[in-house]
Amino acid sequence: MDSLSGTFWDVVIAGTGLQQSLLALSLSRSGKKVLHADKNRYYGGFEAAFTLQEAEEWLNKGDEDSPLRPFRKASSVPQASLDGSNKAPKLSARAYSLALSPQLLYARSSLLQALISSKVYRQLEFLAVGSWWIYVPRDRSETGEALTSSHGELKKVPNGREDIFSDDLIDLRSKRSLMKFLKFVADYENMSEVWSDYASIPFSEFLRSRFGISMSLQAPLLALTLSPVSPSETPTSFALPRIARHLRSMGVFGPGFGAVLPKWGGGAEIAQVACRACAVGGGVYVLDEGISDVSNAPADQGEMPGQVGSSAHHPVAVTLSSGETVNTLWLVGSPDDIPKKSGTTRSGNEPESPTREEVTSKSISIVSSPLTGLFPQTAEAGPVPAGAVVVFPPETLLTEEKVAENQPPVYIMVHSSDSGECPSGQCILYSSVFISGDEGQATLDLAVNRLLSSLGEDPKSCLLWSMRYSQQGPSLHSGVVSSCEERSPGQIFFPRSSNGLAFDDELLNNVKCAYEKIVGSDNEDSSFMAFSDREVPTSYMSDEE
Amino acid sequence: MASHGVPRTSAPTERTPQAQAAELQKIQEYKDLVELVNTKIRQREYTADTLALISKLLKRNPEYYSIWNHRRLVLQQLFSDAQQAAQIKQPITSSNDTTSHPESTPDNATTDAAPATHPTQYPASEQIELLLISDLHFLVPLLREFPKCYWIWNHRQWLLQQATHLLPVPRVRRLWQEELGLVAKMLSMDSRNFHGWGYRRRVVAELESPELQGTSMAEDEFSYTTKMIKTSLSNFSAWHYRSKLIPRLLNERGASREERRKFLDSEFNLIQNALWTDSADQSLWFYHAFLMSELSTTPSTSSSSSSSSPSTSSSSAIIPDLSPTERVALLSRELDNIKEMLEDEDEDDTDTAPAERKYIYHALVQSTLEKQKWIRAVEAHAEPKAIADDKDEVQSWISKLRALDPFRMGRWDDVARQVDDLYA
Repeated sequence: MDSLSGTFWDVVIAGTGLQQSLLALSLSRSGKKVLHADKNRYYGGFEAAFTLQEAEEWLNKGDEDSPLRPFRKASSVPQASLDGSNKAPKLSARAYSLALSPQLLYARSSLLQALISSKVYRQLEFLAVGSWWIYVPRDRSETGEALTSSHGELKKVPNGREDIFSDDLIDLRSKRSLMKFLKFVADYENMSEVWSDYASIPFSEFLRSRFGISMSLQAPLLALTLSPVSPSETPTSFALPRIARHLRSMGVFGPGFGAVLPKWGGGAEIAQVACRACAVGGGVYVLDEGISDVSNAPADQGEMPGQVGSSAHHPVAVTLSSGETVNTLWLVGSPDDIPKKSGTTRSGNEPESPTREEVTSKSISIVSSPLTGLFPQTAEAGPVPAGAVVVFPPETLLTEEKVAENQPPVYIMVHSSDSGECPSGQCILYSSVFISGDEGQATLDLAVNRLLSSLGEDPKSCLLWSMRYSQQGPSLHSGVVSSCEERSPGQIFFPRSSNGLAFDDELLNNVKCAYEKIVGSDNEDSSFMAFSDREVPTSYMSDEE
Repeated sequence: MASHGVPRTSAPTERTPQAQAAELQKIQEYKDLVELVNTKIRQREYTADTLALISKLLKRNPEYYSIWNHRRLVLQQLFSDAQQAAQIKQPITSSNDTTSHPESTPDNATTDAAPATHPTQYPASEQIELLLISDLHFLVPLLREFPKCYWIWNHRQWLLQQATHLLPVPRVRRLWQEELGLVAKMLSMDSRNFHGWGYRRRVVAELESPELQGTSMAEDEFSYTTKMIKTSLSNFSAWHYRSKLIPRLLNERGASREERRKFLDSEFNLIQNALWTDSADQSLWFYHAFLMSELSTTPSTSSSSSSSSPSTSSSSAIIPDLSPTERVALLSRELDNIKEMLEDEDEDDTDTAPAERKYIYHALVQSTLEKQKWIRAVEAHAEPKAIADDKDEVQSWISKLRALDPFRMGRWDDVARQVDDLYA
């Protein structure tokens, strides 16, 4: 490649995570000169998807701090097969596409709208996320047996009126209470008199005292919130918008489901498609090239060639890890991609942003069977989903008799082979819990084991391979600090992607915020991500087929 | 016009100057096409080419019903062309055939066609089948785009009737069977489209008919309604179809009185379950009213019913010979169930919509009036005190109805008069 040294750019984007890639997409028709660099050899940043081999390489780099940030303490565990032969089956490494931060997309998400209006949706394929399941322990008094084999079972979370109607385990009076609540949620914004007094009170308390919904029926509703923390820390004001989001998305794309996942690795796939669109628009891409230094450009280069002083500030000089220095009007990235001050790469422990960051333990497990039972058809003549969500309420995972008041729930997103993430006959479990360190991983292991034993597949499903890591992200709970921050002139910082299980529309707002800073906010609102079809020379597409 | 949230498709409304110019161009092309088709028909050019022109026209405007008639004229011509062509060839091969099969008549190609016996008729029926199938396929994208256009459904039905006349039974059956699959698909896309439901009933009737060597599909259809209700409780068409299927279903099962009683109970359980889930849904109250009407045939007719001729009397009811005492008991039970729904309601409970409370009060008033009639039928000397209590309750419900739905004051006045008459 020709040397980049001394080149001028309108925008340098650091990192190819979802936010940066979406920004690249939004700028793809702006006429701006875009240089998009990523310190990694792969696209996607926090949202990357790996083959098994790439995952192993990524894990081996785990102790060097910087490439893994915000991931820590990663390790992989090849599992011996359970039949005692101790010979793990050979896995075809390239048949996998494991997502580091899989997120489901609600049908009403503004991201889907943006993908449609920007025309890139044609290069993406979306699959239904079907049932939500909740783990319910069997009554201990009823089974005198040990808690080993079948400790509990999975119950389908009712998705709406028809599910409540069909559920024989809910008594008539509770059906009525649940429906009253669901009808309220549908219009909760206009009914603040019902919930304003309860806004900061735990959601479960609100359900009990305002709607008379019993403990056992609160758990499924809490599951729909995808709250990372314990029920006692989940306030009503947090839960209501999320349940409303879930219910309002139901049926938008077809009966019986309300969320989708992008095929072939989720967010990574969206990021790649977005970057491709920017490249088609003339953006230049460099992988394996981080940013090592940022300073003000020398004064004599203050005016960009061909630029009619559109910017109020001096250009920024950006030094790449190869040693080349480029000049740009705007530099955009997350704190992990851009060094804070001249000449230093940041160490892992210093507080990085005013946002409170928290650690989530995660694991990815490859299961030897398809777990078909988790993916019932969404409705008569509806699609067979490729994703399912299994929720372990906190009290179902207490290992000892310890009283853990603020124990958070465990979420396991199960992706079938239809997602393109594993070969057919297998499936992938993406588990996460908002507990750090060994305790977090132990909790995840317990949940995964209980999930597999509760399904009672024959032959017994086992883990073929798994990896463990933890991820730092802005706390979902301390109120997401949204928008983009211009810490110094010409430098725009995105907050880290959240650890949430569903795509957070705030992220798109951050992108729009950065877009407006770069293009100018007097620009017509509708131009953000709204493109007409363009004729793409087939040569651009040929390498993607 | 809101019809259960699925609007009838109409022309797009957005118009830029370019779009307008393009539209004018389109209109001219359309007018030319109409003229061309009408000329061809006037000249009786009932040919494959004309059929293609008609297809082009109908794709633009399926609401132009005269064109559908033209299409049928052309198709009929093409059918008879095919038959004539076959008959011309017939004598060549059939000369030695006719002696061994004297019962077969060359002009009746439809009834019994065994491949070995009528080799020459196959080209005709095969050609007709091809025409029919390609026309059925032609309609599918149109139905997708215009699911509520009568003429498309109409034409489809005509095609299948033609098949019944012109093709051997197994092939007709297959066509109708595929039709049932199509209807299921359409109903999964728009589950409350009553055109779809009406069409389904016709398809089923055809498949059940002796002409197609069919047998009853009542059990399957009954399960289908259950499935559709579980998909959407508000599906009034499904509830209605269910109510129509029940008498036949029970007769075909040869259900005993005991079984009928159990059946009635299970239907009441189903609707109670649904009403407790969502008592604001009018479709559910309609089905509830249907079940209640099973308890409330006028006393005079049922008192004389005898079990000696079940085949005639049982055709319209779940249990034809319910005694007045049984009716009173069932009505009381339902009254209690509905009353219970009100029990945890506050007077000014904002959680319960006015419509919901109206349905409940209305059902209460109706059921009580019905019950009172039957009490009188059981014993002439009903306890005056119990009746008086009832009366106060009914009157309070009526005043609730007046407040909830003042637009139907006349109706409530009428109900109030009925109450006065009954308790007089």
